[in-house]
Amino acid sequence: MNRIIHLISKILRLIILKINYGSGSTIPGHIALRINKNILHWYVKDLKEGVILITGTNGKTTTTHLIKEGLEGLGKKVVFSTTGANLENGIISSFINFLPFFAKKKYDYGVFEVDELNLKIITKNVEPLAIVFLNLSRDQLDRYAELEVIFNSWKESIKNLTNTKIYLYKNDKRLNNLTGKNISTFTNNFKSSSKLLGEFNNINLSASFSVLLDIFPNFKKDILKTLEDFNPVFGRGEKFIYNKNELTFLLNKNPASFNENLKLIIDLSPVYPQEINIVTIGLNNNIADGKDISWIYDVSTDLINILDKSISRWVCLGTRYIDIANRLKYAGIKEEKVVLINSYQGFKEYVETFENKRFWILPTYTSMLTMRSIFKDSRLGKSIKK
Amino acid sequence: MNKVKLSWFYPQELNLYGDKGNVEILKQRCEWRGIDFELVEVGKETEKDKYFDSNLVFMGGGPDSEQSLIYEDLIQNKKEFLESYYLNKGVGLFICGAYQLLGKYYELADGNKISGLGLFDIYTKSPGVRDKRFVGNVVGDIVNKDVADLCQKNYGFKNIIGFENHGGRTFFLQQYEPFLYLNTGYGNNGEDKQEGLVSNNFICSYLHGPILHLNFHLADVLIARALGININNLKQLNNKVERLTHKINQNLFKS
Repeated sequence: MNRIIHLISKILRLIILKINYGSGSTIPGHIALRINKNILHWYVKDLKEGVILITGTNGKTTTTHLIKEGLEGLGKKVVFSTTGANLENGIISSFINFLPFFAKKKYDYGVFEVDELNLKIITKNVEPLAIVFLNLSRDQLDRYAELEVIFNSWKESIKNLTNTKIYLYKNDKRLNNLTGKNISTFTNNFKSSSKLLGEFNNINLSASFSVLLDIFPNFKKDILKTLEDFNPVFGRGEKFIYNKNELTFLLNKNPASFNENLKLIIDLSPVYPQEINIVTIGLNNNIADGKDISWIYDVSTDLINILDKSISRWVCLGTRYIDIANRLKYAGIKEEKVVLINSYQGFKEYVETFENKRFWILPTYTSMLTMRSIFKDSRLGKSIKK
Repeated sequence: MNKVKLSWFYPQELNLYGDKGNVEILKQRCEWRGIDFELVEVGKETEKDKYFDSNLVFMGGGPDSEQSLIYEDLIQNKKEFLESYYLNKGVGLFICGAYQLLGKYYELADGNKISGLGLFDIYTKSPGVRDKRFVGNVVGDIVNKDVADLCQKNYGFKNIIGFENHGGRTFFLQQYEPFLYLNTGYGNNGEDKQEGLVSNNFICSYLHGPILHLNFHLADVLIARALGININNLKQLNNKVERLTHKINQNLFKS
């Protein structure tokens, strides 16, 4: 039965791609789930080893790709989401995409980032090899209700797991209240070099290193090499060169990541004179960004003011550009340093009026998608495997 | 007294949804005008002599677990102050959870009741897990005629915009003046088009946004009242960005 569902879903996916009805990263899985709500269990059983799940407020995508590349670096075949779809239907869609029509046991591992509130749904059906909990902080509360709701659902998710290894970030106070079997912790003590900017990425690197080393204790060197060579993914530190300007994308989706991004630019800015640094904040409030933008006031006013000393302009962009401008005003930023641009095309033209500047671009999720596509031909480094 | 002394109740516990922005906005709008501004953060340990002479009080909302942390302290140690402050026409802004706590009780999904301060003869009922939370944009007109007229005259509009995100449904057991009459949004209970409550100089509302970020005119109403002066006598500020913030979002929220 499940083989037939898989076949149908695979054909459906091809049709979706053929008629250009989306990327096929959620709908096939959605249909497969409709027919058999336990289908994920069947897919996971088709893996030789099992699945590794990554969840948390920030760092999911990067950590997922780090672990995936670590495994691939050791010659393992990995199923993962190429689009970052992180609900159950997205994970199933990834299996539909990767697994051939009639294959059996072709892949070793599945590595997936999981939406915070979807973890519970997935572990009901599947016993993962490992779950990584990165952190828990405020994120889009209009969708996710309150932190304790997430925490309680995480507790619930791991309650009945017997063999799964649980990895917790030690310095997150809330996470440390998760209890159960097979729990180990990681910190932010990754000491090797890395191409990933920012202290927060150290957490992602340390987590990935712990997980990979536990599975392959004899391959420390190879694991380190992959992690060191890892390139930023999908708007998380990616660089673009446009009209001789350097554009660095730093995804900015909640107060925690906003503060981390401000710290990161502060740390790097002594290297550059004030004149060449321009910070652009892209604030959209589509569903994927969170409809409510109140959180911009949870961002540290002190950090905004410290950064202000090392940059020449603040550019406000996105569906809620005026809100960012007002936020900056009440943080005490001088109005003459603030530039309002109400369209993304307008921003591209704005960048064209400069040369040799460093644009630090802090977009919310959908703002990042739009800007990535606007500057897509100017991206540095290797492209993401799709 | 040309000074605003703002007491912010439970900043550690009740600080969800960026509501602390309201405090930053009040502070700046005072200081830009040369009005002295003093902020007292009132926590569980704070003694009354630190805040008894406030002329502005702000309290926001928090997650249920944090609200339960301050609940006992609020009832035991802060009730007397807030009651007399209210009766003496002290000025206050109470958002979301704080609004609910001023009522008689909060009825949980299982029928159990948690008593509130009982300042107002109102109650809030949890919808349980089955019914949806009220989440989304809000546009409404200020009901109080004096305030509405003042805003219309001084700023050219009398509406308030914001973002609501609450499960609880609030009902009045006796007649009160609502804060807003809604054009867009759910408001107190999703039934009567009313949002918030105004009584003496207390303004209670479900609106985040933060509310004073989206409605600078309301910040001025609070400051003028705290100082006991007419809003006309507040020094004019350059409100270009604030006006745009209100106007652009009002159009976004209506559509």
